[in-house]
Amino acid sequence: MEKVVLLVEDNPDDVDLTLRAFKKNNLLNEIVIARDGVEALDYLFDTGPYANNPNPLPQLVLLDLKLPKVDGLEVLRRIREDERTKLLPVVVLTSSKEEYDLMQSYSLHANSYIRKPVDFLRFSEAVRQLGFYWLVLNEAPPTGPGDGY
Amino acid sequence: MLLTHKQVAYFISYVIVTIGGLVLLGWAFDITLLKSLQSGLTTMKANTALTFLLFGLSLRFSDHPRSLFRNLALSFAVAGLLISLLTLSEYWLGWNLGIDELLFVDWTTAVADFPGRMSVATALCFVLLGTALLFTIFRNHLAAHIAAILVGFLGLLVLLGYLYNVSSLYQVFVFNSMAMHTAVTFCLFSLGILQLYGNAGLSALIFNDTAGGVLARRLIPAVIFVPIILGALIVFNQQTAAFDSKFSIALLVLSNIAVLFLILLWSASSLQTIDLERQQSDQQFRLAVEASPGAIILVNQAGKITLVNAQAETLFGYPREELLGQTVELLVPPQFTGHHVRDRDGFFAAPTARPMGAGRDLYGLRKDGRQVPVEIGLNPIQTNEGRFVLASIIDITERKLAEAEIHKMNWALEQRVAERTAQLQAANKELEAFAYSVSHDLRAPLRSIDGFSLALLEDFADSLNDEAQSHLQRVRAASQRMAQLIDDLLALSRLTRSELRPEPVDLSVIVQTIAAELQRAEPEREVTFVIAPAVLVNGDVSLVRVALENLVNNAWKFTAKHASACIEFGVEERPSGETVYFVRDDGAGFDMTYADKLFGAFQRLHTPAEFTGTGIGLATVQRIIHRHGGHIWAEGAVEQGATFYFTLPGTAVRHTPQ
Repeated sequence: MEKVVLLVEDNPDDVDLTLRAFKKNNLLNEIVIARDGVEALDYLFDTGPYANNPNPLPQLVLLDLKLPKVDGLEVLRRIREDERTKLLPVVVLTSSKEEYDLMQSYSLHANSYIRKPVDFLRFSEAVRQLGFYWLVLNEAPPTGPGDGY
Repeated sequence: MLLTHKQVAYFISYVIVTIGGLVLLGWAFDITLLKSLQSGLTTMKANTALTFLLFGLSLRFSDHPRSLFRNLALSFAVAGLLISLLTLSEYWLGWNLGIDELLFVDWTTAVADFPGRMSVATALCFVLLGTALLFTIFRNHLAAHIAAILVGFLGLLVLLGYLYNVSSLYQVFVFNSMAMHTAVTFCLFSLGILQLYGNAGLSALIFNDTAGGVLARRLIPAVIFVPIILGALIVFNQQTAAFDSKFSIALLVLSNIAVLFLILLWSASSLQTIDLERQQSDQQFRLAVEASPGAIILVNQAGKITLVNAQAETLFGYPREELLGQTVELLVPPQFTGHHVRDRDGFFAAPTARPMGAGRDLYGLRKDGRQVPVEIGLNPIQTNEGRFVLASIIDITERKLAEAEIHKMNWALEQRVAERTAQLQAANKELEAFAYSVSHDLRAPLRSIDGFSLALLEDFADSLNDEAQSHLQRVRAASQRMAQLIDDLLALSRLTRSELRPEPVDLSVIVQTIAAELQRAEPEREVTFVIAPAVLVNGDVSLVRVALENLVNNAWKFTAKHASACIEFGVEERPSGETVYFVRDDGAGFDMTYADKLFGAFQRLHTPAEFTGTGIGLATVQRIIHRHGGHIWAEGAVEQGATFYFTLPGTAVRHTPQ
């Protein structure tokens, strides 16, 4: 089974750089991009444009906090509220080091919080470790009964 | 009065007792001088002397505090009375009781004239005197004084007889006449009785402070001596027949009129002066009372108003006729009248000058029913007419208004302060939001700059020559530097906004932790740490940690160029009593000339090629130290290391000496 990674990021530069980092580190998973909170939720819950085109849940969600329309923390909350997505691994990947964001993210049960470094090399290294951990090492939670079994 | 009345009376009694004693001695040793002053004159009889002795003692002890002596006085008086009454009865009833020569035998008087027996006049005077003494003992001073004056007059009559040589006067009866010194002694005694209770009976008329008393005292000599002199002139005229007798009488009458007229004029003048003085003093008093800025009310012991001034009329709205004679409760508001009477009586019981109703708000009641806030001061006054209270009353309506104004202003001020605080808090919140967005939004583009520069470098390495690659590296370095700057600036701004939470902090432990971290990060470096143990201060834990991190990290950074280094943390007591902490290294140091630039934000004394750093670190440390109320300074020399000193006042430092 292909392990899909959902990247929720509004900044196109950051999207490209993240993809580049994945590629450079030989992480060949399919990466789905959601450019704002609404797109992310639509993808996860098969609503909106995905209503007629349902898809399996991703293996990992990389979530930026500062998003237009519905922001990252709200997305996180909705993910954790829904039975289907409650156990989904979510890594908050954001520029902010504000204590408030940290607090909220962990309170809303994000699995991890990574601050994006400006230095690309370090960023790349962070992505490599991230990817390796969550996509290779970590045991994913079991998927729900209504998912193809 | 140089002597009090009582002192005069006692003195007179001593004199009389002495006279009696001397005369008795005279009879005992047959001394003519003492018996009759001059041979041929009537003698003072022994019984007379004895009675004078007894009466003299009685006078002295009649007002003694101890009842034993008073009883003694009573018995002496009774004894003397007995003697004189018996003598009178001898005369009246014609019998001889044998008392006349009981003590001594009288050789000077013929047997037919009853030797040793005092004259009728003397006995009569003694009876009167005894009566006066009894009245005095039983405190009927008026009667005592009347009796005493009668005695005095009789004595004076006898003396006038001696003076005018009128033998019939002292030989009223064929029997013995009164001796001269007996007469004098009677006059003296009369004065003694009048003086014993000089403020009572008839003496009160003479010996008081009023105009009447002053006048009486001035006139008495004139009243006594002027007639005596005139009488003497008449007698002289009769004896020498200088003028015709009817003419002499006319002359006497005219001289009488003249002298009396002069006395009248003199009295009128004295009275006028005295009265004017009194009027002036009254007027001064009245002026003082009326001129008082506050209301004045004089209240007697029964609570009736006896005096008011114009201010009192204005304050309470009553014309003074309606106030005088009223009870003072008329002016007391109904809610206080209840205990006001009690308070008033209490004041008279223990009168002291004091403000009334300490601590309470007092009100006066006006005629129109309005209540006025007042302040009242009370003064006890003692006059001849009894005890009074002088109440000074001030209308404090204005003061109360002013106080209310102040309260209102205070309240308004508090409101404004609360508003201002709320504004400041709002501003702070805005700043926080601003800082938050800055930290996030400014970094993203920096990431792009760095990332895509690297992408260029990696993907197009072949097309880029060395110079081009170097350019791109510099672009990358610059963006990373900017990120660091943003972080530092944010940290610095957060410092000023956060609250200081002082608690005991162990600096030594913090420095040890930082040192351990640094050594773990770069184990290849040879650095010795010398850390003073257990240095405790009062401060905000996180802020103090940030400050020490900056200082120790700096020390670590600036000793990097040396093969080995020593970083020291310690504490010193300065002579001024200040406790000073320091972080010392033996690294690159700095030129003291630029010492004052050290702590400026973004100020650096080294190029980035020599040492990395944004220049924010020391500005941060300084901000933290200042927030704790301390100060920080540095000493150093190029290539000889640097020492950073700082103080943290308001700390109870307990540390073990090095």
